Amino acid sequence: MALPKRIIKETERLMAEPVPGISAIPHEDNLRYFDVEIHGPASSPYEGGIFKLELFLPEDYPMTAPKIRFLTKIFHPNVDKLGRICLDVLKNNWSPALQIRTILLSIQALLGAPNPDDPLADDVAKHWKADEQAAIEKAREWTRTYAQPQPQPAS
Amino acid sequence: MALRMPLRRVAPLIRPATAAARSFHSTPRALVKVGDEIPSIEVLHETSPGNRVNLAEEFASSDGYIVGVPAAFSGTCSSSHIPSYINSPKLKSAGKVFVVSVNDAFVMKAWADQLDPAKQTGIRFLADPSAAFTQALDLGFDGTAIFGGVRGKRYALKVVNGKVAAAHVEPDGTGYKGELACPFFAIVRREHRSLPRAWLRGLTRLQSAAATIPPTTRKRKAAEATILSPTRETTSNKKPLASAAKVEAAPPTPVTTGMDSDDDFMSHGSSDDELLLDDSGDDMSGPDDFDDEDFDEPDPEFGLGSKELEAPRRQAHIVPFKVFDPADIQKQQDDIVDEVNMILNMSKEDAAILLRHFRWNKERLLEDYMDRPERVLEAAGLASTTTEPPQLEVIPGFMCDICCEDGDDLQTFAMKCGHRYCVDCYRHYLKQKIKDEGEAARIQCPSDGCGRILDSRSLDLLVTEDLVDRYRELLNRTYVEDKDSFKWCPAPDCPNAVQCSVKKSSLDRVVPTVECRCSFRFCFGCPNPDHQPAPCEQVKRWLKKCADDSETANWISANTKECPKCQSTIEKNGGCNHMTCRKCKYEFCWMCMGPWSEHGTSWYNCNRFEEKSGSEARDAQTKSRTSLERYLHYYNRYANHEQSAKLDKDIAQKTEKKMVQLQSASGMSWIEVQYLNSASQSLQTCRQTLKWTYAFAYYLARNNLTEIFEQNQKDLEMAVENLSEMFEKPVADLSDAKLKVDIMDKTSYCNKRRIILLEDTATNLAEGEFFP
Repeated sequence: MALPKRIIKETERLMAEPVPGISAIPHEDNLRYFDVEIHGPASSPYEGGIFKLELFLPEDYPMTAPKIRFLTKIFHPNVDKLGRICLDVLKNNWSPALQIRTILLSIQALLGAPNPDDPLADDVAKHWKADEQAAIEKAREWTRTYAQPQPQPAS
Repeated sequence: MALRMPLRRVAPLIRPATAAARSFHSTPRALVKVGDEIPSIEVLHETSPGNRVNLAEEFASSDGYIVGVPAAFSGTCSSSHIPSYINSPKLKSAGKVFVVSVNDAFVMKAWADQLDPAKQTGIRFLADPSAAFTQALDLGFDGTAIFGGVRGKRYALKVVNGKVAAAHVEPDGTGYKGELACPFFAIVRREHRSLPRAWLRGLTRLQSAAATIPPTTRKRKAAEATILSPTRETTSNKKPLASAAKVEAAPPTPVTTGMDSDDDFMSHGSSDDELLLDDSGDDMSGPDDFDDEDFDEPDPEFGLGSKELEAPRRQAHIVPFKVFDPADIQKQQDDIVDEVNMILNMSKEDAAILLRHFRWNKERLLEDYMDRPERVLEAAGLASTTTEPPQLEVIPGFMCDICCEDGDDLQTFAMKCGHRYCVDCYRHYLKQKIKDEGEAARIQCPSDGCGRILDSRSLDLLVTEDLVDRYRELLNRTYVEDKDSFKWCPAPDCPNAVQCSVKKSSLDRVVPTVECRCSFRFCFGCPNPDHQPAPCEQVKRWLKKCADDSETANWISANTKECPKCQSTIEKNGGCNHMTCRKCKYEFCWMCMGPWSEHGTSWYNCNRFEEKSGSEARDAQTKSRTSLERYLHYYNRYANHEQSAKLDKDIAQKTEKKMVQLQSASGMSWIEVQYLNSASQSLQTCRQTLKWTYAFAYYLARNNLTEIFEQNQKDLEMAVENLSEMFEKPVADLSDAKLKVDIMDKTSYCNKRRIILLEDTATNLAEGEFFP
């Protein structure tokens, strides 16, 4: 099936003017499937971490939201063990006027501002509300353990 | 053949009679009027044809009442109409009371002997064999088809100074409408309502009286105690009451002449109608209007103070409600929209959006809008940036943000918010929202963060017809769902909605059962089907209890022990205490649960050692077992009725077939076999009620009220079982006229018992007597 013009344009734009701290690269064999990397925002427990995500544009995109999940383990009240994300714009607040770029920015913002009042991972959220400092420390620790840039084999 | 012929001849005659009875409203009534003198003619006979009575002379010395009935011994007259007078507390002060019927003196005497054997009431039963008296009052009707000649309507006249001071005539001539027809009866019912404790005392008194009565009569008295319980306190005259009770306790006592059975057919026909009306009955729905109208008719001076006339007309177990079909709902919405549209001078589309935003609360909308229109518009998604009406446009150089198409002939659309997209994307978007997400009232502009709500004119502009239909349907749905006083009929494929104003907070006092036009009965307060008399909260608890495994566990704990070795659950169903686990072959003692090898010679030690803890264990076990047995008792009966109702439903489906067979087998007409249908309907409703009485009873504390409730329950159950049995008879038996009468009697009796039970429980529930 031919790729809709919208997806082609969006992909071109993502490549030409990438968002700082975010990269999204389509698979060569499936242009609807993207490998995504998001840098943890500064002055957040995720700072310094590079988080891998996968993003898929379903058949009726942009009428429905892209499917997206974390591949890197992350300690965050709105991300569950499987990496699924609780974010309004990915669910009922999706609008066809939104784009891959805006969605990824939203996720980055979510890393900067966790919302334990609307949790997906219950245990994490409880931890967060009971003892925020300890939770943040744990998120930092997970970031150090799981979200460090892989040493490039060439260098 | 000899039997069939007359039946066939009667058939066409009955139909016009029934039709006439139904259309009683269209015909003006030419009856006796207030102020008319009682005709001075000596045509009435008392006890024998030789003993003539002139009512004008009788009333010369004293005031009183004339009560007319269509026939002596007919079901309604015997079971409720005349007993309601006999039992009335006002009887003593009523003056002379005469019951008049177009019958011969012998029949009237026999009837009087049955209803008032001790002649204590003072009511005199007069025969009007030639119907001359009845005709003189212009209260006769042509009952040739049923009675073989002219008969008198059901009426009551108050006579003061020899003139009619108040007159009330049953609108359909023969039917008995209980409270409406009989002013005495209305008083009795009302006092019963406000004095449940008082008549409870009366019952206790009667029960203690029963203790001194020989066992055979006691049984009858017991039946009477509940059947006439509503009137218990209000009468001090026990003897005639007993006889009246006898009549009602054993209703199928038809004198098996053809005439009489036809009479029953009539009166039951009308009482069935009454029940039907009562079931859907409320002051709002159209067909009942005449009830109110008729009720207002009796003169306030007719033995009643005006205060008493204000007695609640509605039965306590019926809540007012109204059924709406989709067209009604649409119209109602349109009316409100029109109104707001006129007041606020805005387009209908916008008015509709505003109303939806305010959940159809017109007053709040108007108030808020007057205060700060800008804010209201913004909140409802109507804030505008441009003012032109929305339309399709081709804009050169435009690129759609959704699909990134940019052809020169690209049709585009934007609402007042100005967010412009190509028509294809817009359509696609709307289709997605309406079809897949079932959204209607709150479809926003596709632009992220724009709260502008799509109005229906824009929608019409964009989408295809089937989507528009779906959109309207969804909008209607939000109307019903937005309003708390509306609820969809839960029956499959039923498009109607029901409006009922019962508040959530009063659900522990009333059981708001409503009936949709599709004849599905359900509870307005919770998502369950009809569960009268049990209140919603109880139903929820009961269903949870029945669904819970906790009861299974309870049973297990009451009846079993575990193998000390492999923990298998074991029920000891007999034999000695030497147990061998079938699974692990472990041998142990059922008493002390210790290994059996230690027993043998020291068996009695086991008994002694366990004495204390053993008895404790036994106590605990007994306690648990009793509570479980209590639950199982009620549950079994509940489940049994549920099952029977299911089976009855199957039978009902076969009834249709049976009715056709019966028509061809006996030559009865369609209308004549309807009694089977009404029997089946009545069976199902009664079973449903019975089913829930058991859940209700489970939560009742043991007291006198419960006793009365259980008596009512027993009576209804017995009646239902009897009817169920008759109903299952083969077609050949059903064509027997006697069985037909029996079934009709039983059906009517069942319905009445059900109403009595519901009425009683609903009243006590409303007054917080059951669960204070």
